[in-house]
Amino acid sequence: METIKLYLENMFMNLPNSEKVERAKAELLAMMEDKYNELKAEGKTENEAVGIVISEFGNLNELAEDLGIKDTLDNADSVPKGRIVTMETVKSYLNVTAISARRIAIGVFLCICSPILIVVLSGMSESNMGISENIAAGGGVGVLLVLVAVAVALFVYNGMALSKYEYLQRESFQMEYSVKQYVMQLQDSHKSTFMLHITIGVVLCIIAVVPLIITACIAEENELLICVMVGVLLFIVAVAVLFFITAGMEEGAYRILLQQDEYAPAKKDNKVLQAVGALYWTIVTTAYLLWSFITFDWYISWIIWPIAGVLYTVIEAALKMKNNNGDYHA
Amino acid sequence: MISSDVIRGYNDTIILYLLLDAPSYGYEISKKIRELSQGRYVIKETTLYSAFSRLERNGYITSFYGDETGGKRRTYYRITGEGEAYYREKCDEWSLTKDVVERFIRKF
Repeated sequence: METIKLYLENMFMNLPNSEKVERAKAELLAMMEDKYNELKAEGKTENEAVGIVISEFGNLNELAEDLGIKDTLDNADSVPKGRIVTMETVKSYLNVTAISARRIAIGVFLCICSPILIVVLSGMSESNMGISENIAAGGGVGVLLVLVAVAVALFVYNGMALSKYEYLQRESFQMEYSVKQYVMQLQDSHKSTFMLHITIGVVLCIIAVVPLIITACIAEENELLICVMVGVLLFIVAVAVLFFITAGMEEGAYRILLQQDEYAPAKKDNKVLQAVGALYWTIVTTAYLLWSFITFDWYISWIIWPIAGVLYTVIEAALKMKNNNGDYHA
Repeated sequence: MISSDVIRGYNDTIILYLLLDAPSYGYEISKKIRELSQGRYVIKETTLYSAFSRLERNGYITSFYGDETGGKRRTYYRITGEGEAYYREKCDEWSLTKDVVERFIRKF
């Protein structure tokens, strides 16, 4: 309930303290409180109830004329930049992201699991369990290809479903205050789940290598068992990645909608930086591959990445400074 | 869910209908709208409040504080004679509107 009060306070923050405004605020709070209490009584959680109440609150512009605050509100968003993202868009985008997170997670899961069979089968053929090398290789590769094909199909299909919302990542956009509050509320309530899922993922990744290490220590010669444990490792890592992707994509969607961090409008509007960035990373990748393949110094060539990363920050800062001196409009 | 643009002109009618039999307060009205529309129309709080204040300004409803247990005083709304007349007017208008628009609706 505190969140709702705070939300309403925020909405009314810049409005004059007239009697009409106070009355409107009190009435709106009473209605929201009633709704909140009923939702709680129906068994909704705190977060669910607050989310529903805020998402159904509406838009202060509707009250502008009644309250004599038209000028205040008009001034507040007098310089609209980019398109307006509505509550409907936000909800359907979050919906699509949730579905596509599942698709991508399953796709990646299949990719990581795809070599398991080939590893186990080759282990069996090595330890003379009546499986010839050819059958092992053939069967294993067949299954691998099928799994990868399914994953690729999922990725491609998913890319098409999400393309409708690509502008959210590339262009800066406007969002009504109430809609923004709604997304912030969701992001806030997702934070603990996000942390938990990432932690579970990390723990699983660490646990994943344990069976393999133990087997390698106590049954060094048992090649089949080691192969099976490699399979177990892959499987556990694949499960961990499920957690990373679903939690990460939901969090990513909130950041995109709130234009935070890498999605800040300043970054999106900086077309020079975008162009330089794309070119820069292509060159770095090319350099890395050329160096590695020509010299086969894989053990050291990775050093390109940290150096390139640091250098990129420098370039980014330099470009920003140049922009600020020039014709940068905040 | 119904588009709020389409139904906007009839929010007043909907609210007046719910006040015909007895005075009521904000949340109760919003809840009844949801129930009677079987969840297909959920009125926003701001829409509801702006309708109240418009209806009151036009003299179609009056507001008063009800006695409420639990220390909370609720604002109740009551329909006036003028409000009832306006409601009947809107009902006629709707029959006409419905009849006219219906002529341009192709059933697929």
